[in-house]
Amino acid sequence: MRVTLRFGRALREIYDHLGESMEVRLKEGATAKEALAAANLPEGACGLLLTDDRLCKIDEEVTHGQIITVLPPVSGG
Amino acid sequence: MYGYAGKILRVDLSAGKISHEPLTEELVDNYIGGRGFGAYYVYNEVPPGADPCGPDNRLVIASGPFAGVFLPSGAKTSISAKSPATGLYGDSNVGGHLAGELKYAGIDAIIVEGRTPVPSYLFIDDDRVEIRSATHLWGKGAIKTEEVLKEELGDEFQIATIGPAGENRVVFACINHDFGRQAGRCGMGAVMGSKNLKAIAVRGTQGVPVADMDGLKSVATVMFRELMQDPGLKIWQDLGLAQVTTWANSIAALPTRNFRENFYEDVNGLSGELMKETIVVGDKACFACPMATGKLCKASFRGKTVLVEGPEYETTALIGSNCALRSIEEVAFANYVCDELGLDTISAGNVVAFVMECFEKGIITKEDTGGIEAKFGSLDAFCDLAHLIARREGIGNILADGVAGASKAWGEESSRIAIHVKGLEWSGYESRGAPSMMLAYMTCDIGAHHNRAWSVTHDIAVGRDIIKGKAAKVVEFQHVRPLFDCFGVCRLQWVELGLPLEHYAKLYPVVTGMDDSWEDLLVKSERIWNLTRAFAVREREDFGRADDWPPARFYEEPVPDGPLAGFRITEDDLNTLLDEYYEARGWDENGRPKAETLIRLGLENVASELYKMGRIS
Repeated sequence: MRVTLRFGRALREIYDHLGESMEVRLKEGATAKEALAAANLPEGACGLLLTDDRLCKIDEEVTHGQIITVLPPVSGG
Repeated sequence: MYGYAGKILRVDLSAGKISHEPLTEELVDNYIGGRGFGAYYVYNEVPPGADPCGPDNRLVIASGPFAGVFLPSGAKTSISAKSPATGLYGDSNVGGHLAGELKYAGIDAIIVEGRTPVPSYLFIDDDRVEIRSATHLWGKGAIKTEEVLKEELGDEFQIATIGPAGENRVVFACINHDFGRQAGRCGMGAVMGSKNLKAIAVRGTQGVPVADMDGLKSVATVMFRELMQDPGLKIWQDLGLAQVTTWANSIAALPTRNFRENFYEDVNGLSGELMKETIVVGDKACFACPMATGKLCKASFRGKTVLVEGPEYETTALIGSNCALRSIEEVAFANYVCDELGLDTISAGNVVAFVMECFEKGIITKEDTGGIEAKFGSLDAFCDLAHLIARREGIGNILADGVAGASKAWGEESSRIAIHVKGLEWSGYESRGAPSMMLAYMTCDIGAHHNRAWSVTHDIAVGRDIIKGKAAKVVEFQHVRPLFDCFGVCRLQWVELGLPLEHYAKLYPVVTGMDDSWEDLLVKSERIWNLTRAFAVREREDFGRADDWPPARFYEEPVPDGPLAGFRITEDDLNTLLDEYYEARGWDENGRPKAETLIRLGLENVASELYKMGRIS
């Protein structure tokens, strides 16, 4: 299946290989964590995931065609 | 002069004298504003050896060129002084609505010196400035004081106050503003209290001249539009800064039980999501900010229900997991207690966690605590200790000097677990598994604070076990991030939502009319960094590498559990980090700026002074 990842701007500044979005291919039953790994993002690189205007958990199963917005970790100032 | 009000207000509380001085082009050109002004005046006006709580210290309250201007969140006021926590230069910034109001009253900075014989507050209504009696306010909580002054003067006045902790010179007393925002760090509240100055109330009706209004509209419109279209904006509006907690835990950086651990098993009880579901009752924003990260919460404890702004991440980390509280409502209540007493929540969380671990280890007993069962997880203990600290009663008198002061009283075993650098308690990122962040804390000019260089993401990106090559990134951050404190603008829009730095580079000339490039501005930031370091070198003959060293816990104890169990950083690693850092900065092996570095930055007089004193070569 295919899942689209959209990357927040602050994340793109840290990881040069990221564009605005990336389509990744995953096996059925894969999780959001596996989607991030497929985009070559190390663990901890992502702060929050959003999908359909809600928070997406890192261990949540993703589905074909799903769009996930990947936001960077935040510092709080 | 564009982007500035054009005046410095000087208040000599000993003499009861109020005067205005012109803002000079030289000051603006060299130090920009905000923390830059603070560094300049503290270096040049506070004599070496001065008591931070004595009349010779200066309290500098300064905005910058972007403050009060129509652009995203020109809301920051920097407050600087010689810090009673560190004995070195200190500053802290606060959002809300104070910075713009000061400029609308025609003031770029207030310099407070001396001490009033009776409790007073400073009243500013455009050009009318008075030192007024505050005897009816003395002893009151910070939030209560703001309520009373708003009732007396009118809601349009912006108020900065201290609580009992500032009056009693607790070294981590903060200055409160807007009912829930604080200049929290470095004990600026204690400096204000030592001057018998309970509050500052300001109202202004003037404008801020800008050099190119069309240019400003153009850049600011793009910035606002990009912010409003950012996919992350809604999550900020929903969760505010509390969203950081579960992430910090997931990467093993969440301070837990006095930084003994960095992974908290009960983190779900502290999450931003739970906070939104259970205690948030409203949103609050600073001047011209679409992010509205402030969350108004209701919390109950001991039969009392309070309304409090927060807790944000730092408070949740230091009071929550670090003291092992288990619910976000408990943290919110403790947040309120600190706000009303005028205590910095970061340091207060550190201090109470330190007490709890000392109690657990038997270093202190109930005899020392005055009967308080100071166990991890006890909100009762937190609240009781906070009240004692703010009033310097019983054990509170020892704790009011911070973990550094208390560990001197309680001996060697306690000093290994007193989590601070230079006397300032560590903020919310446990860094054994993040070497560049560790270095950022070690070298931050005000002590162990994260805001100058938040580089955890760099460690994650390039490798958490990598030591070499990380110092350059820390230096880079230490120049970029403090620029925002000089501009008088919040950095969240850049740091968190990725608003490009190019926008800020474009804002500077259209607001000020000056043609500085971004690189020019970074040099100014480096100048300010070296000036605050020079203050430390001038202040103490023995100041140097040892002052940049972290607490023993971090290199003696590997991470005990969680995702990074067994991970450790060694003393050799720390020395490698410092060696690279000093070289990158043009400082000697003991961490003192070389004369050539100071001269390159236009600090010839400083170089000459330190050279004559034998402090640099």
